[in-house]
Amino acid sequence: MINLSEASFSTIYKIAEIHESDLKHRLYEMGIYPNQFIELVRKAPLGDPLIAKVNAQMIMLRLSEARLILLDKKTNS
Amino acid sequence: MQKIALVGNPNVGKSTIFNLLTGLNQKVGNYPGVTVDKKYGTLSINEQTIEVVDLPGCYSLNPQTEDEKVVLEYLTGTDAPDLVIGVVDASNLERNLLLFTQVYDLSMPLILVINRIDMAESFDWQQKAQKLSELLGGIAVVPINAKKGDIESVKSALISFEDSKTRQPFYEKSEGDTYTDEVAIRHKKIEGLLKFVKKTSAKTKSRITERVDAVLMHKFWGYVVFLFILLVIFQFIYVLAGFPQDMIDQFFAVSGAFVDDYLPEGPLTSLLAEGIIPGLGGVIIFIPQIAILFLFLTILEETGYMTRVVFLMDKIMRPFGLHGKSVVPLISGVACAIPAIMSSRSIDQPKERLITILVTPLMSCSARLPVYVLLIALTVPDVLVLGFMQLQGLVLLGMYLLGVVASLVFGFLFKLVLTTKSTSFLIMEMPDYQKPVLKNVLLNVVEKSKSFVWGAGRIIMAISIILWVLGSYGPASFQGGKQSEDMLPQTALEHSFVGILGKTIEPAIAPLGYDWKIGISLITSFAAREVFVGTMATIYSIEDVESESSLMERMNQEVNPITGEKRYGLATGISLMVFYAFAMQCMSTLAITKRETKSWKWPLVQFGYMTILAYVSSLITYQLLS
Repeated sequence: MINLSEASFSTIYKIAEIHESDLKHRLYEMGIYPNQFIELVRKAPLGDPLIAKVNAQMIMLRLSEARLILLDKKTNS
Repeated sequence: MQKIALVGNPNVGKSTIFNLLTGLNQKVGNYPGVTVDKKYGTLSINEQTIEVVDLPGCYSLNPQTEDEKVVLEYLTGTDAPDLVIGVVDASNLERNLLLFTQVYDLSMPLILVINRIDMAESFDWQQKAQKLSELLGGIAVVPINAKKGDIESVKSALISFEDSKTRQPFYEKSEGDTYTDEVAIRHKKIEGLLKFVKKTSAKTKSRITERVDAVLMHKFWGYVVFLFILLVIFQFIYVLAGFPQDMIDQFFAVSGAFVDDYLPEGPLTSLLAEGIIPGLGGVIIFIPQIAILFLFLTILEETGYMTRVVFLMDKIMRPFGLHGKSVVPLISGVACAIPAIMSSRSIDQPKERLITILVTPLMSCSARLPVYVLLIALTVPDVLVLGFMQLQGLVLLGMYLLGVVASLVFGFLFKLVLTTKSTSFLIMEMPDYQKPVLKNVLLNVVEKSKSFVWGAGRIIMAISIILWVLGSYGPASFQGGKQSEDMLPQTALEHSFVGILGKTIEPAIAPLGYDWKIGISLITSFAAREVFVGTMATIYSIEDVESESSLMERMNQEVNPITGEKRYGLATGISLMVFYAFAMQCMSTLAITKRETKSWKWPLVQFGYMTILAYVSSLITYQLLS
């Protein structure tokens, strides 16, 4: 299983699990939770933070938060 | 109905609705015990005045951040509103409704406003609203486009509001449900609720955003554009603020002189002419800079560009305990720390915001420039380095770089020292680009200027009067003889409390290369750094303050009685510039820090660390150079 920081661009993944942490509830509230689809859209010039698309919304996250988001197999490219 | 509150996620147009409801009838206050601002105003419907509170934007009622705590406590406390307006964005109903359903389950009188119906695929919103209303236990659902000024339908919903029905809870807690389970269940139920509303797909609008972002978030062009925007803003601040500032300056100088001439002589007249009027001028003078900076910053915020700045800068600023958004206050600090510190309010991480406030005054602001210019001309030889660079120019550049380096170093140190309850994170929505709403921009400019005048102006006023008293009166004035009018200004200053204080601290500042005359100037320039030049002119009894050359000549002749060398040699000059670069010689900055952190602790910390830094650095500088 990979996490969002290792995802490839233009690929839609299904979220498998959100790692336990203080930020779990915040990710859920932003619509990032298991079985939702997520796509890595852009990385900042220094590789961090990154932008992911969930449910037609663009969300900016740091790498440390992206690592909490565990992804299932590729859904399509 | 007496009090209503607006609740919603960030970026749903809540402020636009608040501004439409209240117009200019709005104020900013405090929630007890927190640094979050309380925005409220009044609305008149059918000759009834209703208070409207714009609660801070938040994603849930799970009280993790200060904003969420404020919203939850306000809604459930003794001061609770009679009606809540939940605001959601039509293009993002699913996530926005999470907070709404949490408010729904508080069983409060509630209406739902769906904003930005132009952003979601066009279908019959009236019909959808009707359906949603049925599914949500009969509460009023009002679809609007606030940017177009639609507010009448919201007002009529307020008028016809009746809260008779008892509603079923949207979510019922089962045994063993964690908070994340609750969120997941709510999301699932919301999804079911919205089945009849076609899923909104990414539209042409966001494709434009994608194209613009390809440039504005580019690894090279992104930074070029950002630098260019900052450059334009500062040019405008200097060009546009300079003129009204000169006018204000002259107006208060003339008013002071007028009062002095036409009122009967006495302590009250001089209090008015030399204490109150200049103090008032010292407050008003900041308004042009504040207004212009916030005009630009609000536009950048409203268009959505500020979020892109965070994206570009976050990683670079993080090692220094700062946030992507800290770039704006830090760079604004080169103009003036007052609006700069006020602009840190957009940083939503409390620790990063506090560090930004603490280190911003280390950036060399425009008030230090006259001090640098005078001292460089006096003490730095006019020679070329490597045959083409002016040493004087290099020293000036060095002073600015010193400020940048010091603010980053101290950011890093504060990051290590300060502890916070919450982990630092960055999970933010990336909004599509939008046209700024003029009304929002102007109201924010007015609000920022007002909050400076009321929040910091009173403190600045009080300190300037105290400084005036200390500078005009001495122990002699209380022993029968009043400060004689015949006394020369420099003698009067020398025998005043400030003069005595300046002499008292001489042993402490002698190792830095300063005498009591500089000591007096250090104390008086607490009002504002550029006062240094004027005080020096008074001490050296230069009649014409405008002519800097005569002051320079006089200072140039000053001899250090111990060494027999020139008093203003290179060592003293550089040491004094370093002192001015680092010392917290600005009561207005302390006043605004108090206003923004809502506590005297942080201005005192700021004053303490900057003074120690200034003292130690100047000591080292002087000892190395002399």
